[in-house]
Amino acid sequence: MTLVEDEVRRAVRAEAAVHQPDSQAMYDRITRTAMRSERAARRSPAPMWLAGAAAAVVALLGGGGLAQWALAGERGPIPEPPAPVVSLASPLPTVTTPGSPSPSASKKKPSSKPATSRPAADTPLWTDGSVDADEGASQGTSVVTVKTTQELSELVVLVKLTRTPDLVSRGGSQRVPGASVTSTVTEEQDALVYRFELSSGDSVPPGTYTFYARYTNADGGRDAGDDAYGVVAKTSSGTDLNLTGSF
Amino acid sequence: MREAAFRAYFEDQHDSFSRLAYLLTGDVSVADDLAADALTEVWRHWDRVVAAEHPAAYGRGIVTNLARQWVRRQQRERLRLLEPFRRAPESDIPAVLDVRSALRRLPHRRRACVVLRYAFDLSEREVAGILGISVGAVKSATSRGAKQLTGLLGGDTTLIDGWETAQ
Repeated sequence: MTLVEDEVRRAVRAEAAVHQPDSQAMYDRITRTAMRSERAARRSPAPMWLAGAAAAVVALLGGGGLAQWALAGERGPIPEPPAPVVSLASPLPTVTTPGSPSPSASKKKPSSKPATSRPAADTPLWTDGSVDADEGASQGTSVVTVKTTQELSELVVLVKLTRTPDLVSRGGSQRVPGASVTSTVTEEQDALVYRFELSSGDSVPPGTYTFYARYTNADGGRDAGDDAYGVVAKTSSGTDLNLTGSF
Repeated sequence: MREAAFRAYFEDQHDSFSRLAYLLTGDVSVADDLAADALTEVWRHWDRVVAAEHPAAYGRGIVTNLARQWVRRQQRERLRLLEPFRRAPESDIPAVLDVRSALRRLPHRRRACVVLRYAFDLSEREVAGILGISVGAVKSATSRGAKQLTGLLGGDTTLIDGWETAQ
């Protein structure tokens, strides 16, 4: 039987070598399938890596058109229409015990949410959200700090401020030395959305960058508890990164 | 972290899963999709996968099942389409088949055993675990599958130069 075995082994191995798997296509399909099934079965636990990535941006920033817009960008073609950029390696904004069975990516606000995205050894990105406002003041600034250890070729920062009494935008600004970043503010029905985007073709070297969402509000201060931010980035080496957090 | 662990699993296994799917289906156009779907299942059942004695085998089992389902669907579809033109099933088999076509002629279990044993060098025990059958069943299916395959490849009696001589 050795002869048969050798022959068969040689034949099936040669045949196996004929096929060249497309790693990226497979990865994209996994992402798409998981997202689709998440939408289809809201009540089943959502995949954690989706919660930590684009789906969380969708959930936190209001879903639908906005999130698509945020993730796809307004420039250039959308890379993967149904499933934008999702990184399996993104850390989660919400606290979950590693290995806990089923964290859910629900739209509900976690009871305790850190303002800082968990730094992880395997991501070059770290973000933090803070509010700069005096107690009882009628104006304030929500600040998102993005620290990257790698050059970024794409960067979008979204800040969603939930409507509170007399909330009015004073515009967005940013400190990203040496790079061109545009900022826009969109009035959503229940929120103001500040969008900061690195200009196409531009890149951001490793460093710490700050984005400011400025506003006025009713006297007596403002509760930032329902605000959220999302960061969608791509390193120059091609890694997609998504982080979300709160203030 | 779970997603980092899954990512590592993906990196380790996706190539071999896709090649396995290819050998079991004979179709390059679906191999990546089937393997990706299997990996999605792996993700969904991650707790079970890491608890499994052989996490890779767990994934291979899913690939094998998905491939089998796909092949069945194809066969049903083909039967439905070809029904009006049906001929004697064995009459048009060429004397010599290429490896891909020959594998497709094997019954599922034989094909899976031959592929897992010879293309992926798994032990009989491992293959038994993946397919959920006994080691004895693996032995016999592998042996029959290998024989049938060489026969289909034209090596009925002369294995060495069977490729050339059989017409």
